[in-house]
Amino acid sequence: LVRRAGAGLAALALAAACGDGEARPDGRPDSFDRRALLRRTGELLTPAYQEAAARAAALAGAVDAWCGALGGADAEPAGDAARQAWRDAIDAWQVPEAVLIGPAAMSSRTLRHRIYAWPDDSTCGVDQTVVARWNDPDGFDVAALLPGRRSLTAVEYLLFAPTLEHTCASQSAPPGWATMADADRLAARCGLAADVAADVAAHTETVRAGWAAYLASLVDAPVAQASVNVVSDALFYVDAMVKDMKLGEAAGIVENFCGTIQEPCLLEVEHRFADHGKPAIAINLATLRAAFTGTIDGEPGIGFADFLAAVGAEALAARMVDSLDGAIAAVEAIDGSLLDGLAGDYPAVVAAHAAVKRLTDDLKSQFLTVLGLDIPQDVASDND
Amino acid sequence: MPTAAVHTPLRRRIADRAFRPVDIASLAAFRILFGLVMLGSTLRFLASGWIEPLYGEPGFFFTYPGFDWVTPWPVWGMYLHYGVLAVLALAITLGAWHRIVTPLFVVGFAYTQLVDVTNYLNHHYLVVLLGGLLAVLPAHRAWSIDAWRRPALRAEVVPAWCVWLLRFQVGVVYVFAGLAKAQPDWLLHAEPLNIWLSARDETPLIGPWLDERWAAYAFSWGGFLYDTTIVLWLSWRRTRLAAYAVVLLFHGAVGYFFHIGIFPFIMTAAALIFFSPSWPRRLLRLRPVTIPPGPLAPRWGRATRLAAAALALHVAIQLLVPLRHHLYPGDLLWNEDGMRFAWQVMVREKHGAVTFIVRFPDGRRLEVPPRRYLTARQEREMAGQPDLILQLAHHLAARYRAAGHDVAVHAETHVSLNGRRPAPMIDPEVDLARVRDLGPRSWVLPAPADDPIHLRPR
Repeated sequence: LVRRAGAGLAALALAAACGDGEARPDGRPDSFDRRALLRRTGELLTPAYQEAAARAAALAGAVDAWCGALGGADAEPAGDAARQAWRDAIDAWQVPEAVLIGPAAMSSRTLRHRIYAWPDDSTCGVDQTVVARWNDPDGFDVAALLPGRRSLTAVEYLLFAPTLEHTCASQSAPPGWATMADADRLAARCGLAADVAADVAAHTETVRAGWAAYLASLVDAPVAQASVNVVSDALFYVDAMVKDMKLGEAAGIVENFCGTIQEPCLLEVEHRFADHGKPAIAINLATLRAAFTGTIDGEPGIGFADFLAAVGAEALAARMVDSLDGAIAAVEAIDGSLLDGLAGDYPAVVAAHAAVKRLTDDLKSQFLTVLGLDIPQDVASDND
Repeated sequence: MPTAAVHTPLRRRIADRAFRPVDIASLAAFRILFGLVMLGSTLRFLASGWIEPLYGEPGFFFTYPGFDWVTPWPVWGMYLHYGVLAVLALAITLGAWHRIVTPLFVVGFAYTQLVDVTNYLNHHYLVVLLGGLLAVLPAHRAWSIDAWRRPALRAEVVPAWCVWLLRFQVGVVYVFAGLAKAQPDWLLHAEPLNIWLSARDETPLIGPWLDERWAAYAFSWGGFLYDTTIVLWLSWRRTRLAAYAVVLLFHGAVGYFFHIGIFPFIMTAAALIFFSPSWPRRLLRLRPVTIPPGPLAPRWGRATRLAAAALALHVAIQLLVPLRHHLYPGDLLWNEDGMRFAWQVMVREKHGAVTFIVRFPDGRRLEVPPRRYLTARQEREMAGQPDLILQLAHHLAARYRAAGHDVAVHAETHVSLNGRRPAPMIDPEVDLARVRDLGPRSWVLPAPADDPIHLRPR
């Protein structure tokens, strides 16, 4: 009996050893290759990180140019160019943001917060920092700032703030603000924007530089299912951030900071100063669709939908792609910008939120179950 | 000619057998192994970094009925608590101050479970039960500091019922865990094992077979047959050794494939109780003890009778509580009514999306994502367990009412059981704020009638 069992085990070992990892024991080709999905995710995110780094560097240059042009005839076009550079930079960042893995997601997302800290923003904090830096430029250190006072969030406020007044309550007003001339306020804001933009550019470059090694470790991980779980965790951005925060809280559909119920809360609107919330959501959803379907810029590839189909959950895959397309269409259907929609096309915002929820309901339930995945940020606790 | 035994009343014969002296060695070994496993478990918990996420991060804790007064210490206090548990576990191993230390450990361990229902694990419940039994059994009368310090305490034999009681407890776990698998999803559809094994198809050597349906059926039926019959094979002397080899193989495999913590260690240690009471002496080649003839006469005083009644009650509870779900209508895997304390071990895979809807008297509505109150782990656990959804709904209602809003709280749920298409689990029309979890759960919708998913090999 022992000899027979030993022979069986040896045959088993031989069969496994002879396989190249792609073939099944019965000789059929493996119908799904997790590492292909991971490589495709890399094909989506590698250019995204490159683009984000390039756009962040361009933003830093544009803000510097604006600061240099202040007081001159070119100040206005330079300001417009800086603002456009910010739009380009945030649009580039919203791609990896939607499926955030790698260096930017590590250590409690430290690098991500350095690049884009929303929803952690403090306009009053930025106002206070503007004055602090103006008064002591040599002693100023971006690295010492709280996340809500730096990143692309702060740069947005500094570039797009509608007035030169501060946003603090009287008891926390930046000292000396009232006596600063408008030109000084503008120069002070520009100076801080330049420092923060340079910091953003440096850290986006750090993320870009570290990405390739991370991707290699992800694709070549001993257990590809664990790497797939890392990517699937990142897909949940659409639930917590797009559905609940960017749409739900902004529209007062979900409990929010303002305490409004079925009424907008402008403080919760992403990019409220640049009025750029809708493109951000659209980019997030488009990126999610690319990661889910594997189709990047119209070119088909391997994605989670293929994984679902491979295990026999074609109906779920089709339903989730439909939900994704529905969510993208619903956001597109909001009349004008997100701020416009909240003010004049509220039902469309509610419809967009509901459309995203259709997707996340499947994402949080059958998707995880069928693929044997875990929820994000779960402590690796025991079962039974 | 009839023997004297034939004429002896059955009760008397049972009592004689129950008080028949047996070697204390297996009971002492059980104590030592239990303490060691608990020591390892507690140190592992401290080292894992789970204290903060389990006790520090949640803003809301799910409580057991009547135990809402149990709240966690601050995080540093929880570290201290687990540190003390480790010391107590070591003391159990060494048999020091057994009558004080073991109950303290049981209470301290039970506290860590009572703090939050989402911490519930069947094997944690088993720890409380086994620890509780050890606390009342004379497991410290040999191979212990207590026996070394107090020679009068030393004993080489104990009544057989002491060993029986532990065998019963371990047997209850196996048999009910087996009966829990006697349901269509497990036996006819091989779920959730098909889902779990398919995700582990990268396992060295056997991985390529794990996503095959026959493998899921083999594991499902193997698990069912193992759980329902292993006590029998362990109890029969001729098959005991082979059965224990299967125990090692089974729990080793389960421990390898699934994050199941100390369960394999507890069960492989606990299953040794089915061996002859002298097995440790034989294993260690120690001098055999002389077993006195005849039963150890119990001193039937008031305390003894009370203790006997308490143990009888314990046995009855252990037999009846796991069956209570038969009194409740509906599918246990879906409504979870009677799921805990019933050895429903790893019988379902359930993920869900839950959104609470707070409705104000003026008709306005507000969505509340559970993550506002729960950690990801708590949310995952809650999403499949209706009573926990009800608890958080009550908490939300209380919070809004404290702010002056007489709100209704509804739940939109989309739950996938064993890979089925998600279905609403809670009736979205029911105001959960006004529901009490007594009687049949009419607020839980019927389980989906479709079959669980049948995964294709990848």
